[in-house]
Amino acid sequence: MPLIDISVANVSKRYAIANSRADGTGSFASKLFSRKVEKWALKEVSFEVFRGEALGIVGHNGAGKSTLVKLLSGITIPTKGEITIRGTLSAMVEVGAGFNLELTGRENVFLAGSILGMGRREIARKMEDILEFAGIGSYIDVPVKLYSSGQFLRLGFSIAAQLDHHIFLLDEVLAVGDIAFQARCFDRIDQLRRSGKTIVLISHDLAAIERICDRAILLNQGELVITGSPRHVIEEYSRTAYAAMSWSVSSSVAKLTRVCFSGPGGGPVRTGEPMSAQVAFRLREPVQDPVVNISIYWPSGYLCTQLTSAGRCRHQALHGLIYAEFSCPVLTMQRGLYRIDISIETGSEIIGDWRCCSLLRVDPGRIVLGDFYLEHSCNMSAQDHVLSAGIETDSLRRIGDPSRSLRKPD
Amino acid sequence: MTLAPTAAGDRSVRVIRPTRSLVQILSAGLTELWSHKSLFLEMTLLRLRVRYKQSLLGWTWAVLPSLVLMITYTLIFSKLIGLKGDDLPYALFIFSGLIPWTFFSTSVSTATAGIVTHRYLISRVAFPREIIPLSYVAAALVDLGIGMVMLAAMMGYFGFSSRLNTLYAIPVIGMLIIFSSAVALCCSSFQARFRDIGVAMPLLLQVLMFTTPVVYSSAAIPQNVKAIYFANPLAIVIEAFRQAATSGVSPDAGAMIYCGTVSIVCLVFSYILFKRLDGTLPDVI
Repeated sequence: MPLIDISVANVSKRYAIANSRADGTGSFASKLFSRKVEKWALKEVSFEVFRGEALGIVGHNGAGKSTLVKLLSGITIPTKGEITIRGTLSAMVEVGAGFNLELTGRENVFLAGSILGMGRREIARKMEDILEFAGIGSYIDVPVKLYSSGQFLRLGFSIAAQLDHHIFLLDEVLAVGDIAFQARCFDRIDQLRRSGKTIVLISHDLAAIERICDRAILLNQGELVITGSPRHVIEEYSRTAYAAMSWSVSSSVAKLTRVCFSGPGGGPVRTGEPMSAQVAFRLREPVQDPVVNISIYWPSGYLCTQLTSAGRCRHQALHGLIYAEFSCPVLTMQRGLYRIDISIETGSEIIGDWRCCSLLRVDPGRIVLGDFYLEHSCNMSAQDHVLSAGIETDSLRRIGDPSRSLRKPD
Repeated sequence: MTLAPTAAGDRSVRVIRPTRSLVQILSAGLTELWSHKSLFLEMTLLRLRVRYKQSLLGWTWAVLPSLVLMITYTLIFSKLIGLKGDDLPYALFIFSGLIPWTFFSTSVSTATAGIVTHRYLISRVAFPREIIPLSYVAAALVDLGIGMVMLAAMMGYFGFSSRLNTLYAIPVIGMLIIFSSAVALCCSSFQARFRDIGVAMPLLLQVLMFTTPVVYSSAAIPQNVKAIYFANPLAIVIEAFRQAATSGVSPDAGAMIYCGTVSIVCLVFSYILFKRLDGTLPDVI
């Protein structure tokens, strides 16, 4: 039985959205006694975080993530329910909030550090690490009002990152700073994980959730929808996100009835294996040379690739229920959940356009790194290595600077 | 940097619940406050450090307002209207009243405004939030110290020799600090919810100043309203401070006991009020 570090039991949080006339109008009595508009930001949420575990929290904007962070870190109290926390918890929210613009970076480190409960000596001891992590160099002795927004956020985050607590609450920290800083954040999180710290990560960066977390929970409109493996939760999240995005423009001529993707033998779709896609639609009147396009989008929203019937079918006029079958000998796409758009056109006229009408789930087949799987073969044989090495060195010399040797002894 | 491996036992358990009893509020609140004592120091230093940043006169401002006020009041009330300051030169009389009064009004008005200035911080980080108003009170103490030095210089100028009896002023100042902290906590916790307090603050302070013996002697108060007049602990404190500091008169024991009791009761009440409203402070501020 693993130890439980955080236990959230039936927690609800209600916000009173001030008086309907909070703008200063309305009578005194109406302000004091009128019913306030209420909003439940969290409804009966229960979950546990085990010791040494990394739990991800995902959800749309307004799902209650921030409220949950505020409750866990003790900024505000729940309306109902109870939260039990075993050990010291540090919320790595952006502590730049505690900065005073007139003070220098160094003075602000002392101020923000003491807000987080550190003593002066402890802060002085960690100053080196904080400065190195923030990477703001000599700017540390300049008033923070002269900082760039990136420097400001980095310094703020670095202070919290150096705390030595049992539980870490990371709220959108990966959205802070440039690539180098993000890499340091990932390193730090890995370090925390290795030393057995408990982590709660809130992020819109689903790839990071999947990489870091052992488990994840999905919040939607203040309610906990599912708990499970990050992959499962992220897919569920994407599904609801895409469902909300789904819309279509179609003439009365065409009606989409079915979209289906399958792997070999009707099994799951995997990277590096054949895939087939079927689109079924009904045409209410004869259409000359209809063209079916399947657009496949990355979760990030960029177009990944497109399947099209154009130039692959005989010219003909079609009518009634139509099946279009696409087959790909080797699927080169990486594992993930892709969004599907379907469009049907004839000539230059679009007779149907269905956005987010389906999802394509690609399971890991051949494990490959990078963006896609490149079909390839390889042969290895022994050759006259002296000759080949000579040729190689020669050709490299010609390309590079002739005065410099390829390997400098140092 | 290395991290200590997570220990299995000896972990503090914290339970976050909607309602808490009075005892819990007090015990948990005070422990938390104690563990954040370095924050109290940092915040107080912050107030002092940034107070006169980007101003031409800098720390001259700590002395200037009370000097200007003293001169103005002396000209108006003494020369024009002809008020008498008991047995003291009027300038000294008014200055010894202005010192405790300025401390009170500065700490209460800055603390009330300050809680709203820190709105962003309050909604982002968890810490004992009573430190915000209290740090303003502590910062005002520095002005009080500067004022005392100036008072000593003035007494030398007017030919008053300082006596050991002057030390009676110390417990009086203690009560002033307690009472000011109580009012600062109370006002700031209301200000977070109802901005009316902030709007009314200049008016309230002005009324309060003229109902305490700052610019006039309490001898002018009719005997039948004296009881009501001195029900205000601030009136007792200002009167007692002036007498102790300038003439070395020992404060009236009965008045001191009354004043001390009221101040402490007010502080406890204000602290509980602040902590009760504190739980949902980030939601409403």
